[in-house]
Amino acid sequence: MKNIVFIPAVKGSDPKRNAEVAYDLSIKSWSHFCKKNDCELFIMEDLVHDYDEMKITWQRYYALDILEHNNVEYDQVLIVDGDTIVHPECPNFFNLTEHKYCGVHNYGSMDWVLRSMENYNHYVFKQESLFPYYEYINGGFQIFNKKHKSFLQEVTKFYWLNKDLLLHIQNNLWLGTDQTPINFLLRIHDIDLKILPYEFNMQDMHRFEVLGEDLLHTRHGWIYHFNGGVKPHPKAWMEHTYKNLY
Amino acid sequence: MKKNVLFWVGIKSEDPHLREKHGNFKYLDISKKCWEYWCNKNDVIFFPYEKSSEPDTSAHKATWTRWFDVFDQIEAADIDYDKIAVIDGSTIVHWDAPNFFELAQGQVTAFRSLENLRWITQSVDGYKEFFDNYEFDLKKYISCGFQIFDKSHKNFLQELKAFYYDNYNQIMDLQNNKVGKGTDQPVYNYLLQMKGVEVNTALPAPFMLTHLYRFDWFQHNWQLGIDKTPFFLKYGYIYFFSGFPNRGDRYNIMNQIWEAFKNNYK
Repeated sequence: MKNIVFIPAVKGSDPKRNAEVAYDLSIKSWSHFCKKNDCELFIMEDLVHDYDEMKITWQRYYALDILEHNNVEYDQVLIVDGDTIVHPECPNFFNLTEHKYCGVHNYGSMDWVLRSMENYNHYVFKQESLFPYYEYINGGFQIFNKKHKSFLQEVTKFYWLNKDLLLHIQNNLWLGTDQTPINFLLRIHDIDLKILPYEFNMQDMHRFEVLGEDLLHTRHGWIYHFNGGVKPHPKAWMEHTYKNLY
Repeated sequence: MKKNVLFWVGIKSEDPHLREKHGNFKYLDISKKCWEYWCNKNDVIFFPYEKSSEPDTSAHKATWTRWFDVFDQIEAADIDYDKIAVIDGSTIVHWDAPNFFELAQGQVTAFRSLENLRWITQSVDGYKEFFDNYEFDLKKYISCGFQIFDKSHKNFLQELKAFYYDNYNQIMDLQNNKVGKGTDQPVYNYLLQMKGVEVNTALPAPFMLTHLYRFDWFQHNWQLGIDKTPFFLKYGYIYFFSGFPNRGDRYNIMNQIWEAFKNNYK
């Protein structure tokens, strides 16, 4: 059984996003990683549910069902955002997981993270205690395996049970979609979580002053996540990075 | 009975340029009061480092001499110590911060520095040739603002001291003219890696909040409107007042915090 890199890249779900993200280059870079590390690349090209009903960020938690539906055998599965480029020499992080659920802390604006945690705590997870903010993970890079299947089913079930409230918060408070809920749900379901270091999901790179023409980011880590409102848009930096690395 | 010691770096240089740059070091008075309170509360010896072994604190800045003086001064004071934390005087500790000594595990305890990766890279690259092109691992770069040692680390600091004096002119040229990125931190980091010193970076992040502006720590939850406490106070324990556009901002901000919360330190 192979490890799987699973990239949600559904065309047409968000036209602006499609224009500003070089999904093709992300996929090419991950294809290289998979060949080098004997993994399999799986591109999620079709929505499971209508986009207005459930954002793609929530639909990625169907990953194991989708793989099984397509008769893909798997060991561990990475779901990774399509606005990432992986370095050609990136170590095989599947070997670092200890077969636990893995993510990388969400680095960047602590105002955004903490407001998101507090507001979801207030409106959705009222019975729960806040967990340490430094163990809050970014949703764009998550590794899990078969033993997490029931948890992932609970995640999508939770979404449908709370859809209206979640959509209301999503569309009125602007504090993300699945990311904060998944962080709460990981704790509620007592999932053993392993935090990998920044170099495996380098986020908000402008804030860290690492994004520049000199491609300094490629010296500091392995997976470049062009989020956090990179200017002019992720596509420009993805092209620049890819062309220089490959 | 052995006790833990907090070696608080609070030297007020007499250099007129430095005094002006740092607003007469008034911020140190605030930091000192907070740390005295915290040490008393946690049964830790507060050791203010206010007199350097070097009379010329412009030529030999406190950021350097702290490493050379820490063990000497504590031992000269006849203190029976267990662990020693060296902390910058540009900090405020939360009145209820837990006792971090209980989390130190024997290695040098420090924090990985990520806040400005360009600055870090420039400092590392600037010293590369000086260190015979040593392949420095950027992922292991640490901040020098807060370290915890025990007696076993005395040797490393003695080696650092010898290296500093043996290479003083070259280091000053790099520090003041050619690189201009910090003082001790690049050399300290190189030597840590070159000598294979084990570093524990597992202390939870709230024990070192830096670049508070950059990471929006001064904000509060304006959406809920229930609690206007800024996030750094709610979720952090030790605040480093660094990374401001103007150094003068340091005192102003530290003083505002002190005036608002000083009653908690009684």
